Amino acid sequence: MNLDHTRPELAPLRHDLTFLRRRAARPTRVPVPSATELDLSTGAPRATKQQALPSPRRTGQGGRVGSPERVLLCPSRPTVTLTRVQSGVGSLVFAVRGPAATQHLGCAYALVNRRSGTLSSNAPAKPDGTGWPLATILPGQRRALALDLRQVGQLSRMILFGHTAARNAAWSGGSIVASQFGNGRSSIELRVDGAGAAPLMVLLSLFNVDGELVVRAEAEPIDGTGADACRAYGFDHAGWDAD
Amino acid sequence: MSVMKRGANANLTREIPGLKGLVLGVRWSTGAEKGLADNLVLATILCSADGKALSEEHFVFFNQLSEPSMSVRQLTEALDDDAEQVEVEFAAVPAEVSRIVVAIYINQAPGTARGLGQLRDLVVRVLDPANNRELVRSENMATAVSGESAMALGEVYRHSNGWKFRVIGESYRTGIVGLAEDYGVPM
Repeated sequence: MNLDHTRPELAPLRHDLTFLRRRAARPTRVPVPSATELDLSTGAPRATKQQALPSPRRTGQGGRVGSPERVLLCPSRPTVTLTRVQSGVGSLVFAVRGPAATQHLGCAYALVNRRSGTLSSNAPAKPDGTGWPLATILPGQRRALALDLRQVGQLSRMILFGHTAARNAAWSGGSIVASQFGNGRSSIELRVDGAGAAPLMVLLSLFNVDGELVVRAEAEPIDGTGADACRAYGFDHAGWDAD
Repeated sequence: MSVMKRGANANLTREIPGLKGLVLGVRWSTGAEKGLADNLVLATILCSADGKALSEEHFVFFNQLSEPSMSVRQLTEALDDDAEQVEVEFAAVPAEVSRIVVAIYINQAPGTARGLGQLRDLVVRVLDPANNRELVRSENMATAVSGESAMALGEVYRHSNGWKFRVIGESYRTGIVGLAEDYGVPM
């Protein structure tokens, strides 16, 4: 069979894939006036450039975070989903609460424009197209990293990892706490032990699902560098210069 | 076109009997403060009779461009010279919604403390979506703020089977936290 991979709409139906047959119809889009309908003269009907699509009610994978509520991620509840308000107001601050002051945080992120980047305690990140960093190491606090939720629309996914100041020292465990949501009354916590004894630990991953951030516990030790962690999680093209 | 001071109200549907909805446009000028402009956020809150948001889904902003009934929609690109615009369709507004409050806030990054006092201009306008005509506009509310980082600009509210608009101009030193608490928006 010859398939034109540039035109997926011409592909034959797959009757063996039941989930596709059962998929609900797409929601009806709000009609957007074409450019020829735009009339800027006074007294003409108003033409809207882009209107919002309906916001379907979502229950959120792994449940929600109440206000106030402290959610502890664990094997029976590895994920939690923030509402669109929690995902878009203020900053999401990740902080290490552990025994060693030399525990630092870093992250790798992918943007919706398919670009990606990294941030460690040494190098601030700047998403392409804006002058403002998407994520920052808080000044004077290498154990805390903030995600600017004003720019959440640019974020596709992200991993947060812990590493030590010394290259060959092992991550000694502790807790990672994500908090603020604009008012600091709710938090998400993941406790990680030091049993892996690896120099780097991927702690959490975040996915932007239609404006809602899904936070997932990873707690995976990486016996390598930050670049190795990026490759392991599919951030192959992320620039890395702070190992 | 009339300029309304804070606290003033206008009976929109009595003045224009065929009015089906409106556009709330907000204009601001930050001068050279690009960092402030990038972090200014327009929010629209659909409130019940007790003045509280119906739910977190009734907080319309850049990350939630409409509420479930689609009666209030924020445009991703504002027309004219407005920085942001929100469209309201009266017939689609749920019966339990008594007032629709439009506000702005600064999305503060940790360690920063910007204030609305850095704005040169801050005006909310009401437009007729049928012909794009400006019905009313507020006075420049930038002159009334200093260190505050959130402000309820105005509200559209039900009145005798119609709709009125009122300029609020109430600002919050506690920013979005205070605004959300005042209007019962779950964070």
